[in-house]
Amino acid sequence: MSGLKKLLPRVNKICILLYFGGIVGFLLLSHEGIRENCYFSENALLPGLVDSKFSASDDQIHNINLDILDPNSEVTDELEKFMLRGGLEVYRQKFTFQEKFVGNARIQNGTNIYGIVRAPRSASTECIVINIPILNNKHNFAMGIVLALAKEMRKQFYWAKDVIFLFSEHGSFGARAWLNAYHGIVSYPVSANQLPARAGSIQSAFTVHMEEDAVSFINLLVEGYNGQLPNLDLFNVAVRLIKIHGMAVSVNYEFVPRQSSAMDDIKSHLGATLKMMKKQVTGTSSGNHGEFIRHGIEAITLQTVYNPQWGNAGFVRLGRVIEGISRSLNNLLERFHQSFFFYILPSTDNYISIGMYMPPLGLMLAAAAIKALSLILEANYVNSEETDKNEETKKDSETKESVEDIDDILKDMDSDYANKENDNKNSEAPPLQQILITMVTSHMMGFLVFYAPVFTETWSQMFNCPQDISITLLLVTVHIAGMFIITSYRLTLEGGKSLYVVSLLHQGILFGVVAIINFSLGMFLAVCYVLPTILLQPGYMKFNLLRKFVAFLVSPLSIAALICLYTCNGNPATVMSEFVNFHVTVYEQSQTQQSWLFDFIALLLYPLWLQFWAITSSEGEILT
Amino acid sequence: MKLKLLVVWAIFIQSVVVHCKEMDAYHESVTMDVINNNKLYSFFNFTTIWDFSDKFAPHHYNLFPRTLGELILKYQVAELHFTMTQGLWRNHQWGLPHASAPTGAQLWVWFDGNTVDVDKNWIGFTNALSGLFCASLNFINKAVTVTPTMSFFPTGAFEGGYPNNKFLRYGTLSRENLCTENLTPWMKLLPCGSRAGPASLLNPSQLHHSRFLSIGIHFMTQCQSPDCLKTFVELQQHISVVFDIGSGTHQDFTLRSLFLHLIKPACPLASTSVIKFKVPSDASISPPIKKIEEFYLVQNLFELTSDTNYKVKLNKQHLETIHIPEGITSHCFPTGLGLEGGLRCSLVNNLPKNVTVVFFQVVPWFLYTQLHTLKLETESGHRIQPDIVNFAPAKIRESPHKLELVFMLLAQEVTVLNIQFTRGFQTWTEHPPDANHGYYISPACLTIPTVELGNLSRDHSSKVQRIFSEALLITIPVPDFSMPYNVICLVCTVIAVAFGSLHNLTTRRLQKVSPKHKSPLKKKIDWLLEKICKKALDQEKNPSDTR
Repeated sequence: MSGLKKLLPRVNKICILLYFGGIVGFLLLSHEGIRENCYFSENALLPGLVDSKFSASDDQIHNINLDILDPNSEVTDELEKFMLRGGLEVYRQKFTFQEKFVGNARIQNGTNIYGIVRAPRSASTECIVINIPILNNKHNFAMGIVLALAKEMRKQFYWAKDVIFLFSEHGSFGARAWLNAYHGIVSYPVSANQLPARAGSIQSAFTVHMEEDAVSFINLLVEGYNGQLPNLDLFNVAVRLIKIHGMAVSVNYEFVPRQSSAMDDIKSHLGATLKMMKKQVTGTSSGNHGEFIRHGIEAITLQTVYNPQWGNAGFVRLGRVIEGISRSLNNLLERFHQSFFFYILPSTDNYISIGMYMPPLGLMLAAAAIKALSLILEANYVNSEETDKNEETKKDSETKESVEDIDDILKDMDSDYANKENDNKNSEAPPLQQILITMVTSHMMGFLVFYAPVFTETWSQMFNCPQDISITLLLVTVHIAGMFIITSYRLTLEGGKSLYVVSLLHQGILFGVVAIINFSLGMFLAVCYVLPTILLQPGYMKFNLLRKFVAFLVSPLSIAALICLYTCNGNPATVMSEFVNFHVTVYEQSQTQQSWLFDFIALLLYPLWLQFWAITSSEGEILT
Repeated sequence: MKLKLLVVWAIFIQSVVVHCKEMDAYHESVTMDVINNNKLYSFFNFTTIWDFSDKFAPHHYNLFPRTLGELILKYQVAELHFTMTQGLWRNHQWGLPHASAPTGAQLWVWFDGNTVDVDKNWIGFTNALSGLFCASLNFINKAVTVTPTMSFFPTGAFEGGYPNNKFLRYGTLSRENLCTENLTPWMKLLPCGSRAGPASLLNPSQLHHSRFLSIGIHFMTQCQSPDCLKTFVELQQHISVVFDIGSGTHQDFTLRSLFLHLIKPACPLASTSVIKFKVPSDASISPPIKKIEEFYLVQNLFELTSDTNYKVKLNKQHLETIHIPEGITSHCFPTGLGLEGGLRCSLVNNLPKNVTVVFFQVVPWFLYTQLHTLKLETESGHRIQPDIVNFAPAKIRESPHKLELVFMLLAQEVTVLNIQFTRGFQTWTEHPPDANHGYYISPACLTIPTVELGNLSRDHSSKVQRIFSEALLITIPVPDFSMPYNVICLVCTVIAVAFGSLHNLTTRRLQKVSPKHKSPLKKKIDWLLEKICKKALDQEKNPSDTR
């Protein structure tokens, strides 16, 4: 016990040490010794063990693309004609969706078209989906490749799963409309017609995105919605097959670095890791595959990149890659269940598993937990010291044997009692009540933020401003109003301390849970919040202004502003529009893509931060 | 003695031959339908008829396969229907089949009216049949078996008047594949094997290069006259195979190009033996066939003198126009994500009239199906009230859910049937190999009176047509099977640690140690104990001190 007592004064140092230990641990994750090499966990995939049967030439594919590009007819009609000629079953699906919620909010129409190659010897119980997004302003040149492939597949006898070629319109909306109809579910803001035909349970899928008619290398997109990721085996299959067919492959435009010094190696891998995490923090998907992952289907996006300096690898190679991935998936006997679902990618050949990346975060969260524990212990020691003192006085009185002395003691006790009553009068309420009132108020404010965008239109009419500015104004107003409302209820020192302990624990649990779902977001929040909140301990009056400043610096509003400052690349003129844009984007992504970021900030993060804000304005004592 | 035996033997054989001439018949036929100019549907049918003056209780088998006859006798089977199918019959493109069959294995049996323990006979029979056909029919256990009430009436004469469905058992295995090992025993049941007649085309390796392959065995008792005073037994063996002729090079097909065999002249034991073709009017067949019966070109195989290769030349221009036959189709699929799910069937009636159908669906016990979620409405939103609802909820690990409905499919409408279920858990020993593959819901079955379908049906002899939808692959929560390994590791560690210390304790001899050898720590503890005891004693001596 005495050891612990000695540690108590140094707890801040320990916490800060833990915090920085966590950060250093995280930075070291991409070190050669810690990151692991990718390997195949599912043996059934057998990637690249079969000869490619794809026999179309570059010219043929080019001609198919030209046919589809025919300006006199709709792309969907051409696709339908071509697939029917190839002997596929072809179906259409119409859908409507709402893309924008702020400003120009209107319902749009779209059409999906899909062809099914029925596997000869299966009963349509399983299938693979190859998704080719129809880009509304550009041409997706992968169409020619997959149409040539579909025609050949039809004649091949080794397909054990049906293959669906899905040409979806309007980005992820089309894919979602199709998948919702496939599974008989409905999700706002997309509404879709019924599908006339299906091909059983979708085992896996991939999207091919080819905006130019040449390809230098393939960039793989893995991030799904709200931190979801495809099974690592699927990623490995794609990487392996692209390499087998002699193309370069990258993830987030990062290649495997050449042999270099240890420092350069760690730097480049760390860069790739951070790039991936940056995408994940936003909670949106980087491609159509996100919709598949959301529906429980492992999926990935192949995005081709053309760089004239690198040369052109040609359609045929990409065709063989697509064929190879399909054949690997065709080999699967079970759904993807082995390998990793939680990982970060420092390069295409390495991964960092959940077992490695959680401990650094754990260290950081432990810092907050230890701080909270230390406060509880401190309070206990103070209590026990007080009782010790009381006991000592009692013992002293025991030694006095005269009755008068006892009377004196009784008087003393009376006065003590009176003093205590006075104390109670000073503090309006016991700490528990104060905690409850503050927490409930802060969460009510969270609800207000969450529902504030409902009034966007009213505000824009009232203040005669565009809707995007009105929604930003609304959110900022509610945010600031919350700060004033929460401080209007003044906490006592005791209440502040108790709330501080509760909030620290609350923060630790919240970030821990978020990190399990979306590690990148959890890590980002831990880096932003743990250190400032450790320093916010109530009772240090002389730093109060500084503490308020620190607390305000980590408010959701300030973080948004800081991110905008960072993204506008030092062009102060655009900061304001960036700031407005930021709010609109976060809100719209929550509406159209069901990303949790806005909901999370409004309902959980903002109330938590309000609690810390309340603590900074609690009564304090000057340390002597 | 020997001579006597020989005489008896000779007399016996003679009598049998006479008997057979009167009573036995064997008909073999193959029907070849060109569908949509890109598929060839070949239907082989082999019917053995055995006329009995009395009950079916033979001591000697002639044309009838003995292996099957013995099982039928032993397990008191009155009617047997067994099919094994690879692939899916695509109703919306191919129309109705000659003999419908769901994906995988399907078995339904009517037992004799005086069977004592139907369940025991059923289990025994499935096991025996699985041995006969080298198929895993023994997996049709009580958790798979149901007793339908309306969908599977006996097709022949059933003893004892109106059938009581307590003698009926039905089971399907959708995961069961049809392989050569099932095909061989099936062909061995034929009187001529695959040596003559239509059966000579059956080349296993080619049959598996098809789009659809189904074998079936149907045993039943038939009436000789309308009053049904006299009956005979009938064994139908059929095989359906659909080849792709639209893709690639062999647009014009010959028997050799599809089966790699030529057709041989008829089986000498057969009463009739024919090959029939139904081809588009502008197609040509060589050698030419002149006889026409009900849209079919018919060739008697007894008239063939040698192995023949028929060549069919099609008009290629039809290829792109896919003719979608009108009629009734059903398409089922699982709905929902996560733990909650459902089953939805869209039943299309393209006919110009309303048709009353029986819908039959079996759902495994671990998908907890709720009847109150049953919704039946047309796509235009019109609610349909089923005439009869027959739902038997599952018993966990005992029996599956059974749903049987009678309702009307409105003309030119799509009727959507919806029912919800919750995915349940299974213990880790209950999962089959490849647990992450998923589980199958057996295909839904629509039973429609043949009268309603008129010319659309290919099989006019049976009173009802059955339309099966897809077998549905469902995923349910699967445990991490590497966990037992982790548990074993953990348990081993615990045992090692516990065992080590226990062993240490139990095998050591405990001895008294003189105080000289006391360690400093022990001394300290002893001193502490002593002190505490002293204090306690002191307090007991003068309790007045404490207040």
